[in-house]
Amino acid sequence: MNEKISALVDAELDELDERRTLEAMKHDVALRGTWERYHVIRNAMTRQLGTLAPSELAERVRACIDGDVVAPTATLRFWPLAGGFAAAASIAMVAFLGLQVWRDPIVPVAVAPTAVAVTSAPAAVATAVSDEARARRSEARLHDYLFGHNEFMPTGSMGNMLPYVRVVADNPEK
Amino acid sequence: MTRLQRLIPASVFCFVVVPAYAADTAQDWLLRIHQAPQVLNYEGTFVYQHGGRLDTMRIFHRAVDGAVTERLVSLTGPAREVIRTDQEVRCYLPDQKAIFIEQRRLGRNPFLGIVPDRLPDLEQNYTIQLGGKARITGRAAQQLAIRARDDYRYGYRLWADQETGLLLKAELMSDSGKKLEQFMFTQLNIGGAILDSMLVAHTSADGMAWYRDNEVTDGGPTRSWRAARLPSGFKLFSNVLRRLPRDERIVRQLVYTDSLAAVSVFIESADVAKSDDMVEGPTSMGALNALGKILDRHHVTVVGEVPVKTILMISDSLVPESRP
Repeated sequence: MNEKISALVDAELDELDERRTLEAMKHDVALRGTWERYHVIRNAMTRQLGTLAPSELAERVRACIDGDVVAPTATLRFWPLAGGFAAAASIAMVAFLGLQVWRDPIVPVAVAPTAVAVTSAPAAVATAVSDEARARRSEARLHDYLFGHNEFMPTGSMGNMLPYVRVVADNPEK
Repeated sequence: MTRLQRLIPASVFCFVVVPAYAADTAQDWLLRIHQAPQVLNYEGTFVYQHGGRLDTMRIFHRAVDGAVTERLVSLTGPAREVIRTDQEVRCYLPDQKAIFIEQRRLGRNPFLGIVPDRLPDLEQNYTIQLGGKARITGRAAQQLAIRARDDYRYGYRLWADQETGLLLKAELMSDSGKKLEQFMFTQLNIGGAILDSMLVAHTSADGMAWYRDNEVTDGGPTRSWRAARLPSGFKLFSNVLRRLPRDERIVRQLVYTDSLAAVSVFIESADVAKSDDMVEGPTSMGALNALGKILDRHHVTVVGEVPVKTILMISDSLVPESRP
């Protein structure tokens, strides 16, 4: 199973395996811990040291998968304009991951080459109303930026309508 | 042969509607794909897949004397639509009770496209190869593979209509070969009349808020910035001040592109920006990655359809060009 989780973190699983692995993680706290550690390692390996996941991330991701209300509002409001990418569970998780890191203070973490544990400062639990509001404003800001970015999307590759296909694409979790 | 000599035949080629037999090389096909929407009318239905999610959309596209009008409508989920002309783009988002209007400055200066004299640059960073023949929505198609030469950009697999060059199917691929996004026509009529009524919004504007983005010449961060390190082939394409549609704050936007992929850097003065609503840290949505950080009393956000490492290289190397 650890191999599967490693592959999930590296986005190398096919869709069926992805779904199975996520389903397994949903019911197994140890697997979620593994997933969290692999992300930390991967981040460290790709030099994202300043942006490591805050602690309890896996728990919050689980809550999101379960449809718990710990943190999903922000995500739901963000994805429509960004293009509805919160579709597949894996993408949703990346989304949650992004948003979680995004909304919490960035905590620089020193990671030794062999370190596997998250040692960030305790992150605020994302239930505070002010947090929600702040996340929403952050999302609106990114919407605005994406809108500005669309204009400059090169037209040759995927066709010049693609940026707007992303705009139109639905958010499945509404 | 000089660079100019190499380009002349290709430049001539660019302005001719290319008949099918003329498109022999992969490069010819890429140009045809780019040119086809500028000369063709079409309407059709396509699916857009991202992750495990599938959306269905309808498109109406009219080209008259080089002027293009296009309407895109979602058939699944909220009834969103986008109407695009060479001058502006209107996004109707009834689920958000919002209409966004974006001016098309590039419409007047369509630099960001695939034109023959940019192909040599493009081929420094991508390989372009012809693939096999296929059939998409009942039409004969030619496949084309565009692979990145390094892992700072994504690759593409394209299927062009054999007869007209119109893009029938496209896939955006990560460097590990994972499909990040895909779109494909499932029904298509090429060459018929596209009526005015097909190109107007069917969404009522009642109760909707209007947001408009504007380019401005004054205000915002006075200092200019640049990325000191860029992946091979990325060049500064644009450096503008723009007023954001929603709250009218002014930001500087730098755009770097390698001709196929683009990265935008948004810079706001921390004095003006409310620190609690800025983008912080990395976020990713399929092919799109973004990163926000604070740099020298400015909020900086880097956004693009490129891998995270490209976003990081650019965001890590931003430096102010001069003192205000």
